[in-house]
Amino acid sequence: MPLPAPPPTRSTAVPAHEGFFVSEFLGETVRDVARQPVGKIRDLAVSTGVRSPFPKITGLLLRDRFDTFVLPWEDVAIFQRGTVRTRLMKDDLLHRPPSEDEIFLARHLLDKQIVDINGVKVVRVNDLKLDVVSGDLVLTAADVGVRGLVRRVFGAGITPRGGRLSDRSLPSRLIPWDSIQPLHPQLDRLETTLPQERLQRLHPADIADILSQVSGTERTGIFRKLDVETAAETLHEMEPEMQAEILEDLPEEHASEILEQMPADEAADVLGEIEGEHARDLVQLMEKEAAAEVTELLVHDENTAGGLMGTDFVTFPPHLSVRETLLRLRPIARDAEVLFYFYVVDEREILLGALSVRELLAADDDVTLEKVMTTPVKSVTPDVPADDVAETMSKYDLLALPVTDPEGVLMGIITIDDVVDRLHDMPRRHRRRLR
Amino acid sequence: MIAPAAESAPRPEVRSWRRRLTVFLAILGPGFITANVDNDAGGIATYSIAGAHFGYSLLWTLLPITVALIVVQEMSARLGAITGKGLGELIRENYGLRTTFYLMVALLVTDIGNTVAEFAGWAAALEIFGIPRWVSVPIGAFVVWWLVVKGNYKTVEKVFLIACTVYLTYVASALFAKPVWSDVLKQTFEPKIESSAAWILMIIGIVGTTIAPWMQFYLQSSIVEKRIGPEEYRLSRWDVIVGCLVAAGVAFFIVVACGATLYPKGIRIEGAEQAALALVPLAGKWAGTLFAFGLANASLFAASILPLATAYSICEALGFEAGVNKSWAEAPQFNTLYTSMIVIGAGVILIPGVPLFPVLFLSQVLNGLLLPFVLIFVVLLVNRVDLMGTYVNGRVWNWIAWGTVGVMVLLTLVLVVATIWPGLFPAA
Repeated sequence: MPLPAPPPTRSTAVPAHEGFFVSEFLGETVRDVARQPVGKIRDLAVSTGVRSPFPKITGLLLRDRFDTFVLPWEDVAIFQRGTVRTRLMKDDLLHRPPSEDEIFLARHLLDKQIVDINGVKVVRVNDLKLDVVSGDLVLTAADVGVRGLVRRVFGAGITPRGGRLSDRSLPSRLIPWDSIQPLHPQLDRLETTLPQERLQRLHPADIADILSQVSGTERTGIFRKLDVETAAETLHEMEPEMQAEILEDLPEEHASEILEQMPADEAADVLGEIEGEHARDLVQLMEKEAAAEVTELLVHDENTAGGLMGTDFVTFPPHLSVRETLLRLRPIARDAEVLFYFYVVDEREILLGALSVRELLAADDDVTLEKVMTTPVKSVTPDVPADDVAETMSKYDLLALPVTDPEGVLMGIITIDDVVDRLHDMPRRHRRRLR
Repeated sequence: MIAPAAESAPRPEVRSWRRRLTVFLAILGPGFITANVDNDAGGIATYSIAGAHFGYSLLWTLLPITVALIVVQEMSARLGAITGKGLGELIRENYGLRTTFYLMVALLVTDIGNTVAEFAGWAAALEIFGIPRWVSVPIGAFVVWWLVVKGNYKTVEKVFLIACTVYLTYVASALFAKPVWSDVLKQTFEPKIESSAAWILMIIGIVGTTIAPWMQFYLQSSIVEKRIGPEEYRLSRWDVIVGCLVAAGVAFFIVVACGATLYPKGIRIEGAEQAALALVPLAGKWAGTLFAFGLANASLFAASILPLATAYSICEALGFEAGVNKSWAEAPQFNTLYTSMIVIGAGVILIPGVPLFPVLFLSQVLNGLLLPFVLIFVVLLVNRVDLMGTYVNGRVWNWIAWGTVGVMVLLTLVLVVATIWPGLFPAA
């Protein structure tokens, strides 16, 4: 529920300088006009309804001996290190309880994990930096460096008053608010004029890397925010176990949508990791055509050519001219996952030959495909072990290898990225490494 | 691959039983390893002394201690499985950075002391085989370092699981010692309470060596690392229970081995290596050799885990980059912590004429002082509905948990007091 923005009647004495840190104010005693203590600062509040590029401080959560209440920012007269004063006498202050619309910086951000979008890393917030922007106190950055850590643990006491010398020597790392993706679900409610889903800007491989560094609930939380296409690409970058974990946590409709978006062979691999009944439900929710492709792939053992192959390939009849082929190829190329080769098959779908895109471009317009295609083509049957497939592709330097049934009918193709893990004997997927 | 719809299981109960066993074996590890590392150099020394000085009369205490160990470990495992976070992280997120920082400093100091103790055990065990410490300690330190730097979770876990099986040497030692089993069983199930100060101190010693602060951190992190979630948790609980039972079994056989041989002859010992040497004339060369071999294995095993677990916990809690496959520049704090713990642990042993007793003394006291805080945090966190949902402690379980923690804390504090002022317990 959006609150009306506070009227711009600012005259709080906030000195404009290098900025403050939240830790410098936690525990600070707030006094009224007559210097009577009002309470100690427990937290700083930000309202969810206020739209601005940076979260604006809307109140201080105070605690006196009897209760915990919010002091609205409008009632703060002086806000400085060591001196925080209210505008009114203690007894005239409004004691408002913390509301549902408020987010608290110490409670929801301090010590929590955030994603540093530029550094592509999950980091922990040591301190929060506040700055004065056109009269308002706003949250501008998260301190994730050692300097913030030392400030939190030892307080400002370690630094000589005013000089702040000793902590200058420690490495400081500030992450500006616009390159932070908070992970705490409460922060999702924050309305800012900056795009909320900053994660979406990253390469799916980086998103996958980040997802592997956070706990289960946060992982699902982040994943839910991605659009279906990014979600599918991100899933593609993760190891199968984690893929399954994530899909199992999503609502079934959403999960099946993502599966549709993935290449059939990849989707089949993920489904293979999901417990049988649940996997069947997901396939049933998928769009018919995609579901059929996936089901076909599911019957093969994942360590054979049949388990590796995808069904995303392009075929043409042998008598087609090069000119006609090029025309037909163009729209297909737009949607294809990868297009290294295309295949020439007869009317019974039996594999006759293959042609690389380069060979096609180099050929004369009027010849038919059967004249320029490479034949016979190296191919394997679905039961060939995966390691042999990798060896064959490596030996003949193939970017793609067709899979045919014993009669020679083209069933699918295995592309180089399906077997690249086996060639390097090292895990490609992102996995947190251990202890 | 999932089974296609048409091909439903013909004998579902058999298949699901098998499937469950497979899943269990895949989940087996964290609980099992943690409980077994607990029988480290210090643990073996304590059980040996208990057997040598008190015969079988303390065997019955292993039953309640095992229950306490299971209760405490189960809560840590549950915290890890449900929240997906390490203990250090959880404490920081819920109780603030300052608390966490001092807790981590205490953990570091304690674990450095423990690591020294492990290398001392390793050196002493290999000296029995005639290998001087200036050879054995550098080799041990290198193996520890290499295992971790070159390994990943899966291989390291396998090596650790194999190391766990070496504890069976204590069963063999106990059998060589030819105990009168009827007597052993009788004393195990018939609690006998003495009132001498030495007896009370011995019990406290056994309790103190059973639950160490680092175990809670290590167990929880490994659960998270292995990505055991709420679904796998039921099986993971068995990993914890089986691990604790096996660890208790090993302790049982150590007590029996010493109780059957050294006790009747009235031989007094101060460490595990003396037990191994004393076993040779009484139970044969094999009994002593296996005993020493077990000690060497246990010490090195613990020396591999301690620096690593500590460096991880600290970095996790303070937000430093951590990981064995990260370079010095990528994870400076982690690498510094990890390496210096091994260097200090091994280095102290190599200083000629260094008095080991003060080091072991200090680590014992620090363990005891740190434990109450860690256990209280564990119980508080495990009861937080916002973190654990329906997985909070049930009412009965909570009584057991607080009771266990209370008794553990009390006994450990008495141990600390008794270690600092031995005069308070004259007979000790």
